[in-house]
Parts: sequence; C-alpha cells; structure tokens
Amino acid sequence: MNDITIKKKLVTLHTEKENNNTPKQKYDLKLFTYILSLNFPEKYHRHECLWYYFFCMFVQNFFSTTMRKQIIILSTALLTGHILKAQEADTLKTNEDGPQLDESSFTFTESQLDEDESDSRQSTVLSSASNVFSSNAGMKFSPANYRFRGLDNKYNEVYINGVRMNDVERGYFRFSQIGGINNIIRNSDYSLPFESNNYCYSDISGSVNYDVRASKIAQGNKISASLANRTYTGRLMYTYGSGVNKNGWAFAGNLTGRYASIDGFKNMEGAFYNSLSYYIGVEKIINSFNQISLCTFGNPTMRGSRGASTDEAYFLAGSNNYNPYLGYYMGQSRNSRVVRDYAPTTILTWDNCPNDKMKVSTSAFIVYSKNSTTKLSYSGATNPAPDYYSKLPSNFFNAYNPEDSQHRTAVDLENWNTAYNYWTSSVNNRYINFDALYYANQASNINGEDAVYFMPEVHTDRLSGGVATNVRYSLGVNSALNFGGNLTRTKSMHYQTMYDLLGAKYFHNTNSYALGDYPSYAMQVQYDYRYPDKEIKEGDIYGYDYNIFVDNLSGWLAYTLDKGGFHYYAAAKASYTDMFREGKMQNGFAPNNSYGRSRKAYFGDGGGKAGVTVNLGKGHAADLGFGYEWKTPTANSVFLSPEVNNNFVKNLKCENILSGQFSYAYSGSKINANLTAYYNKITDASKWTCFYDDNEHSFSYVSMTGIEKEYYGAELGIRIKVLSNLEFLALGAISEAKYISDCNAVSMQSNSATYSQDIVASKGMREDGTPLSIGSLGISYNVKGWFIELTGNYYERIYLSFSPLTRYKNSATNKNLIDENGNFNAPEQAKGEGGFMLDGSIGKNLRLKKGSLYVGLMVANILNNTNICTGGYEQNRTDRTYNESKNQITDKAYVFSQNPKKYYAWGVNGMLNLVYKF
Amino acid sequence: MLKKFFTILAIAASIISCGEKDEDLGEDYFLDPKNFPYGNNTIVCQNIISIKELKEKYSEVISTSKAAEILDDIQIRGIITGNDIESNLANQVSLQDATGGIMLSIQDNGLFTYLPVGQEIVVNLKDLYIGGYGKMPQIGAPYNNSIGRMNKILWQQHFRILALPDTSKVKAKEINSASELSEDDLGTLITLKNVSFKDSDGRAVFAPSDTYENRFLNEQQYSTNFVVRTSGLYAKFAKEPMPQGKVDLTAVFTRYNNTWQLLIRTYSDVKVL
Repeated sequence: MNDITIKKKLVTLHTEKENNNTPKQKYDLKLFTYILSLNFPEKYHRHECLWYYFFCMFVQNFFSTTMRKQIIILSTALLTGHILKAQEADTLKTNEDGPQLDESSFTFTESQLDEDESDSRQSTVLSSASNVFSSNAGMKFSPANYRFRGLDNKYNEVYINGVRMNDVERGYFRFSQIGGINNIIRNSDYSLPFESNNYCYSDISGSVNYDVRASKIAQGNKISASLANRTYTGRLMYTYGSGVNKNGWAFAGNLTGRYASIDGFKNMEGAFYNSLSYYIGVEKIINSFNQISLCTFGNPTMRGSRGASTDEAYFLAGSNNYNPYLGYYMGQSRNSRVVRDYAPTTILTWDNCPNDKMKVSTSAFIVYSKNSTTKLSYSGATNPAPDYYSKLPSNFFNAYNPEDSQHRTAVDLENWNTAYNYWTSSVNNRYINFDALYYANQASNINGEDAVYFMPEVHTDRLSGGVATNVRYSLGVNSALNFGGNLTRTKSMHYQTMYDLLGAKYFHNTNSYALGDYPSYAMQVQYDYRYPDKEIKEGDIYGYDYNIFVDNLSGWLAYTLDKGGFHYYAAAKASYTDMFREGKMQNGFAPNNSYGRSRKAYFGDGGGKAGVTVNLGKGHAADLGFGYEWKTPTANSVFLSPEVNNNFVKNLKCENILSGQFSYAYSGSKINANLTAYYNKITDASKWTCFYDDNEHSFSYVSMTGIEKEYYGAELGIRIKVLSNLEFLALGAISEAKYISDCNAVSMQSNSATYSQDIVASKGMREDGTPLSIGSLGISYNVKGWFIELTGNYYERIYLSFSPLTRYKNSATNKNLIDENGNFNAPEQAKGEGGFMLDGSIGKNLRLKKGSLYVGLMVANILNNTNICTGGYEQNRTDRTYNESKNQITDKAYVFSQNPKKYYAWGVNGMLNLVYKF
Repeated sequence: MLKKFFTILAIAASIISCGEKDEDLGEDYFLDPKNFPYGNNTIVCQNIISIKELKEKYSEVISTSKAAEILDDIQIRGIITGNDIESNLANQVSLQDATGGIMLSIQDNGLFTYLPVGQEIVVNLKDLYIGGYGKMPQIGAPYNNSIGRMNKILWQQHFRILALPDTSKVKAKEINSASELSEDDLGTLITLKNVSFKDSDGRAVFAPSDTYENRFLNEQQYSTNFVVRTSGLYAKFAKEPMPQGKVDLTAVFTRYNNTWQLLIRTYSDVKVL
C-alpha cells in the first residue's frame, strides 16, 4: 500500500509539472527523470540523471520482446513482493552454502568497499581451497587493510567471466565496480600465485575469477535487510535466480540499496553513503555444446569521504574517528570530499565445447567507468582545511624538542594555549567553516576578483572494451592444457571540472602558481593557451584535460600433469602494450607538447613459472614453485607530468619480478595445516606521485625509477576440528616488504615547468598501509542451527607512506641530514601503532514453512580499540626552510616529521542481518 | 509491468539521492550581522577612540620602535583600505578612519578573504599590543623587543565585522606634491598624482628577483628616501613591467625608520595616464 501512496504522490507532482499532456508511452521515463530532478540537488542533474536515463534507455531498448517479458516478471516480484515461483530447474543444483559462510563473504567484500579511496587502502581479495592461511587471511585481517605479503594490489588480478577487470592505468581493481551485488559474485575461483586455474596466469598476489552467469546464481528469491554502523547504516538487498528452465533459459537479477546519512551513527564521521546496485543476467543454453550469457551490472554510488589527520588533531578532537573533510554550512553538515562512482559493465559470454576434450569460453565486455571526487581548493588564501598545520597548537610551540629555545618562548606558549582553547572550546572550530568560504567569495565578487575558495571535481573516467578467450584442453586423465588470450583497449579520461564556486562569480583558467613568476600576460600562466583567460563557470573543465590510451594484447599458457605422487605445473605468458597521451589543452608551459597526441610507448613483457607438489603420504604434502617475469609499468607511472605535457618518464623499464615459494601442508581428519615460506624480488619498478612542495611554492610531479624491493616471509595456518561442531583456527604471518636501494627521482614544478633530478634515500623503507606482522586465533561453534564465532586478531608493524621530499639527497633543505663523513642519514619511516582486536559473530538459521530465515549479528572490534592505525602518510613537507640568498637553514616551529597523517581502525562496529530465502 | 520496474528504480533512486545540502547561500544571508562567519560577533561597540588619538597616546612607543600592551578597554573603528590580495602586503592590513590609519599585523595568509577593502570593522584593543616597526605604527604582538605579528586565532577574538564591504567608502587622499604628506597620513591610502618610475624601460619589472625590491620615482620632490617597495617572492604583480610615462600611483603609505615606503596593493593601483 505504501508503494501505491508514494506513487500517487509522485504522479500528482508529475501531472502538475507536465499539465497532463505527456504522451502515455513516454510516461515512465519522464516520470523517472522528473523524480530524479526533484531529489538530486541541482549540481548532479547533468551526471546522475543522464546515467540513470541512459541506463533506462539501455534496459528498454537492449532486450528483445521475449526478454522484456522476463524482466516484467522480475520487476513485478520487486514491486509487489509476491513470490514468483520460477519453473523448476532440473539440471542445475542450487547453491546451498551455509548461511554463515554466505554472510561472512558479505562482510569481506563490504570491507573492500569501505576503503576504496586508493590502492593502498584496499585489502587483498584472496582465498584458497587448499591453503588454510590464504583462505582466511584476507577476510580476517581486512579491518586493518591487510594486503597479501605486503604487495601492491596491482599484483592481485580480478576477473569476471574470464575477463581481466583491473584498471589498466593504475593496475588494481576497484571493488566499487561490484559493490552491493555480493550475492552475485559468490561463485568465485581463487588462485594463489603457484596454483593452476583455467582463466589466467596468476600474479604474485593471486587472482580471482567471479562467475556471474545467470545460471550460476542461486535459484530462488533472497531478501536481506541489514542495519549497521559501518560505511552505511542500512541496506536492503533483493536477489532472484530462476535457475535454468526447460527451454534452456536462465534469468537472474539483483537490486541493492545502501544508505547512511551524513550525521548518522557510524564509524566514519560525516561520511554519508547513497548507493543503488543492480545486476541483470540472462543466459541461454542452446545445446550441450553452446551457451550464451549476457549480464550487466553497476553500482552508482555517491558518498562522503574520510580524511587522514594527525595525532594532535585526533587528540584535540577527542576521537580517532575525527574527519577533517567534514564541515558545516548554514548550520548543517557538509562533506567537502564527495565521491561519485559508477562503472556500468556489460559482459557477453559464449561457452563452447567443440569436442569432449576442449572447452572454450569467450567473453566480450565493455565498461564505462565514471569516478570523481570533489575537494576544497583555494587561491591566495590559507588552506581552509580545519587541521591545516598553521591552525594547530604545535605550530606555535615546539612540543617535540625541549632544546628548541627559539620556538618555546613564553609568547609561544601563550599562542599554544590560544590555539588549544580555540580547538577545544567549540566543536565547530574543528570542522570546515563553509559560511566563511562563501563570505570571502562574496567579498571577491564585490571587487571583481576570482574565487578565493572553490570546489573542483577531479574526474578519472574510463572506457574499456575487448575480448578474452580461455581454453581448457584435456590431454587425458592426468594432464591438461589451459591457455587464453586477452585483447583490450582502454581510454582513460582525466579532467577537472569546477564543481562549486561557493558563491563566487568569477574564475579563470589560469595557473595561479605561475603568476608571480610570470607576468599576467605571459603564455606560461595559461592552462589552455588556445583560450587565454577563459572564464570558468560551474561544470566547466579547467586546469587539465587529457586522455590516456592503452592497448593490450596478452596470451598465456599453463600445463598441469599428475604423475605418481607428483603434481607438476608450468605456465608462461607474454603481452604487448602500447600507450599514448592525448592532450585536450595547450598548456602555456608546453605549447608544442601538450595539445594533441603524444608518441606511442611500446612495451613487451613475458614470464614463466613452474611448480611441483609432492604427496608425501598420510596427508603430508610439500610444494615448491619458482617464477620469473617482466611486467609492463602501469600507465599512471609512464608519464612524467601528464597534467601538463606529453613527456614520458625517461629510462622506464619493465619491472623484473622473481618469485619463489616453498610450502608444506598437512591434511588429516581433524587437523589441516599449512606452512609457507616465500620470496619475491622486484627490480626496475617505478612510482609516480604529486604533492604541493612548500619549499618551491609549487605543485610538484615526481617520478621515481629504479626502485628495488624485496618481499619475504612465512605464513602459518592451522585448523583443528575438536568436535564435529567445534573448530579452532590459528593464523600467523611475519613478512618483510622493503626497498633495498635508493631510487632516482625526477620532479617537475608546476610554477616553472622546470625539471630537477635527485636521489631519494628510499633504502630500508617498507611497504605501507598494511600490517607486516599478523596473528589470529579463533573459535567457531555451531549447535541447533546457531553459529557462534569469536576471533582475536593482532596487528603489528604498520608503516606509513614515506615522503620522497624529506629524503631528497641533494636538496638544500636536507643538507643537515648529511654527517661529517658525507653520509646521508634518511629520517626513519613513520609508523603507526598496531594492536589487538576482538571480533565475534552469532547467527541462527530458521527453517520456515516456506523458505528459511537467517538472523545474524556480527560485531567487530568488540573491545573498541580505536588506537590501531590502518595506514596513512608522511606529510611532504620539511622541518626546515632554506634561505638561498643567506645560504641558511632555519627550523620551523611545526615539526612535520613528527606529525604524519594517519587513519585509525573503526571502533566497535556491528551489522545485524536478516536474510529471508524462499 | 515494465513501468513498475522503472518506478521501483525511481523510488529507490529517490531514496538514495538525498544526502548533501549545497544550495547556494541566499544573497541576504550576510545582511544579518550575526551570520558574519569571521571575527567575534559578541563585541559591542563602546569606548571608541580615533586612530589619531590612539597613535598619539602611544607616540613614544611607536617612535622608539618598541611595543606596549594595551591595558585600557578601548576600541578603534575603521575601514580596511589595504590587504594582501596580491600578496605584496604580507601578513598585514591597513585600517583607516577619518583621522588616520594604522597597520594591523596578523600571522595569517589570505587576510583579504575576511578583511576585504571597504570592510568596516571594530577592533577591541584590550590585551593586544601596539608599537612601532621601524617607527611605523601597528597593532600586533611583541617580537624581539618590538612589535610583530599577532596570533591569527587571537585576532579573530578581537575584531567584529560591522557591515558588508563597500568599496565606495574607500577614498585615497590625492597628493600632488610631497609637502602635502605628513606623519598623520601613515597607514592610509594615498594616490600620488602624475609621477613616473625611474628605470622603467618597458621591460624592467617591479621585482626581478625573489627578494624585496625598492623602486624610485623620477620626480625630484620624491627624493631618494621615498620608495615603491615590492616583494619579489610573494607579490603576484612582481614580474609585471613597470609602466613607462606618467602614472597615478595608489598605495598604502608606510615608513621604515626614515624611508617612506609605498606599498602597492594590486597591479591595478598603477594607473597609466
């Protein structure tokens, strides 16, 4: 009834607007877009409405009349809640995994999404059917952003229906692409680095293939409702799978809504969350040799971000949940960093068995990903971030060094107190004051000046398409050949738009960093010389606008053989990549080298690996694997300053990756155990970063090359089945993941476009944002339909992302780090605190007259330990200033090296799930 | 039925679409003085003295380039006439009333954002410091036995915005000869009529290097102790060429001991005749 009331209300609104003249056939779409226009704030019309509109058009036009009929069935089920009993499947088994496993996998994928702000903030998605440690580590340690072996997520590959879905430009997979469709991605095939599979040459951090064919979706209806205090506070999910009917058709659909208000009770202060995920899949089993599957899914999301801050700010705010991105505006909360993300994906898959030895799976895919983040920017004023260092008490008084008499005077102490009282006197003083930003802009309007404060929106869109084929060829009972190929073309679109002028009337497309070094009429101050001093309105592109094209053709081959007590495995791969940049602006600093296409860079890579598993009898087994490969650098490290010009990084090489692993496994009736030792060495790696360089009063683009890293360690996993319903699980890993040499850096300053070279003292730095030592002890018990689980996890050795700037060996500001013998003493890498976390879950499965109901509660961090650091970064600022004319180094009052920005783990957080299957 | 499917999507979309409120502030939002988002809106105008009276009261401290704490509960009220909008006046603004002007020295960048030219404010002086920096009168905090910049958080507690900025309230005093200038004009906005820059050849800029640059005027009456001072590192117009020929030059009139310094606020302060 509620639905009808709402609809009636909407219709009334609609008729008022349209005067009842709308032709009937256009009714729905018009109503739809109108409803959106009612509810989306003005700023989002252009993007979101269009997306949804296109989505509707797509659904409406894409499916033939017969298919449309099935969608009607699905939509009826969605609307009325009536149960539509699909025709009984007689060929396929439904997936009847226990509800506990089901719900845990929810938690796992959700936790990926929570932190998908950057590659280093994402846990590795990994599991294994054969390895106790690997099958549990990813899930158990995800609250601390555990990455397998400390490796970057670009070494972890994610496939959907056999198609590689990692972002070619950054290398890693964005989990928001499949956010909310947890029930759809349950059919997964995980593969460790030295395990064989039938979809790829598994990378050194493993791989996974999600099978989202409609026939693989569990048959029946599933509705789940959840309450949580995590990234979102409420979630509703509906999944339907028809199974395969007698005509060979299978249909599946999923709709998920997730929501959190900006002021809601959760562990991410100020981070609102709106998302609507969908999946529609259809499959036709033509005959026993051919199947065609088509599916499309997406997860349009709009959410507020959480920023890292310093320990001082967390202390002043009284909470490690403090979010410096949050502000208030006319008395209401407003988040300055709004992420919008939508990557609609469509995959057409043809499964073909030409003969009984061969199975060929071919997929064509297209992904159009739109991702953007707003941020607060400023020109000529102080950074409006509430936790900007100059607003903090320690900017006035050096609390870290009692011998610093210069910054510890009575006046300094008084200033410290003033700042301390300011921070602690009112809650508002620790957030962004948007009213003040509007006031400043109004004043600029009066004087005819450009906006002082404004909100740009940084876009990274991606259009990617291609085909992938995987072949499994049986060579008899004991051996098989798997091979495949992948051809993709990707266009990544990078640009910045003016999202909100915050009440200002004027803004121009000029480089404010360059102004002051160049006169206002100089070409150098123009971001786009073709349109000098172009006035920028909200929604306009400014600053930079370029595309990166990447073409990739790859092939792989794997051979497995079982002979005697041995399982042999050998694999090889090769690929060709080319990439180029296409500039859409003629930057004044590079008038002949920024607009239009760059040269093409070509890369060829390849590699091989081999392994053997020995069955030692009585449940004992050992395996050994070894591999060597060359890996093409990701496109985001190939260009030196892509926001400005077409220049490639010089001396760029493919990464050399050596990997080896030895593993022992025991599998008995009560005990399963694995012990693994591994070693990886990566050389000729490169990394690109950019930041504001205070010493140069300029933005700085930095490319580091010649990086050498070593990863080694040991992993242990033991599962003991004490009783048939009582189980203990112990996991542990000690790993090392560090730079073993210094590396070269080339940087470009945005105020002069000059390049400078230096050496970064990176030797000894560790991979950041993941605990390098972990341990876990858990117990699980089930009785009479109840599932209870309690796990204690321990995290240690969490490093923060190191700053290259403070480790430039030849920089004048770092001169005092050189001792009498001429050695450069690099500052120690900042670390975060680890700690203990207790997680538990309880659930019960009830069989009803019709269907089943699962009720479950998961509580993580029961002891509310909010002092576990989950990552962060050193600030790219030095503790000293250098005066060139006086050749003098002066200490700053604020000690940047003591104030890295950190993220902390959520406090006690829970999720209550109700799952009804029928 | 297909309609229903879309309706469901639409309703779901409408549920998720709320969340952020960023409709623009109403034009009249800041007409209500209690909404001024800077300064201390609890200050009540009382015990106001003129800037000239203030400078006279502390003339000894100023002329000896020292600093003194203001213990009396007094206030000054005036219009902002100069600020750091193009970064040439760094960490200071000039405040002026009918009787004269004074510099306010604040440890903050982007002062122009909340102290725009034409902004009327009242300053509660109690517990602030007054002194002379090279004999130039200014309000701030003690530094090296003289006067320096005050803490920006402290400053926020000591002033109140009285009205939205109105540039028509700012009138520079027109100067046709050096004799028309006196110490009373320090801290005020002046316009030197019909002057020209020495060394201006169409290429010479206000400040070629990253240090401060003093530029001189050709006119005899503005002799060598009279300079146009520009920050090469910070001023946005530092690399603009000095105009050739006669100009009307608007600037904040200051001193550093016995040198009279003209501080240009923006490049448009130099009007070519």
